[in-house]
Amino acid sequence: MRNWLKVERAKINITQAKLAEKLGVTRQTINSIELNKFVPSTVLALRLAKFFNVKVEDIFFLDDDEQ
Amino acid sequence: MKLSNLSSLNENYVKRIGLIFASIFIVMEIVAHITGVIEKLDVQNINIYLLLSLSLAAFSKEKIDDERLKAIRYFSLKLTFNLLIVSLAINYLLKSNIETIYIAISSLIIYLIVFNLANHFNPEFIFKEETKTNKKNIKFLVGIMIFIGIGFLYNIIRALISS
Repeated sequence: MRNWLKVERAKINITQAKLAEKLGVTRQTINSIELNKFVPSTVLALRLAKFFNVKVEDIFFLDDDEQ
Repeated sequence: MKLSNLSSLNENYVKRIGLIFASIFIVMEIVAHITGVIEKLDVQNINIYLLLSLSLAAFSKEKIDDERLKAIRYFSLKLTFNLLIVSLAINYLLKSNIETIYIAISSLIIYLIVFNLANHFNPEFIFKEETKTNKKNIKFLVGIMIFIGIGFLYNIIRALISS
């Protein structure tokens, strides 16, 4: 699964640390998600979408081989 | 870069207390073994205190204990548990005189090292989903068969030599 988290973060000009603080996770977690190392849980994905005021599928999308 | 950014250890005071006590008991243990000033009974007590201190450091929650840390903790526990089983089996097989408490202490130290290294370097393979479990199970079975075979041969050779 890939994501546009970095793009969404850049749109509202918020740092990884600030976003992590708002969501109650570590900065490394946000970094891992952005680098596609770590796939977040549904709850965290929904919270991210809610924070950026977009749909989950606007941030996260499946790879071609995953579809 | 600040030192506090390098490790999760500075984020949790319970972990720090556990590590400070563990360090003190490790130094006491080394002094006891080198100088022989502490009696056997006291060394056993130190081992218990060391084990408790390490448990406190190993299993205390992080300041922010999120799902990524849970995944890392699961990986570290799985690895340490496998190593513990292997070391206990080798200890039993070789009939060595290593006390079980030392295996427990070293397991906790390994867990702490693996957990903190994984947290710092954040390797991708920890978070990868296991899809080829069947293949892995077969490898595990083969590993156990080889281990039993080596153990069996070792005991036969040992019995032949002693007779």
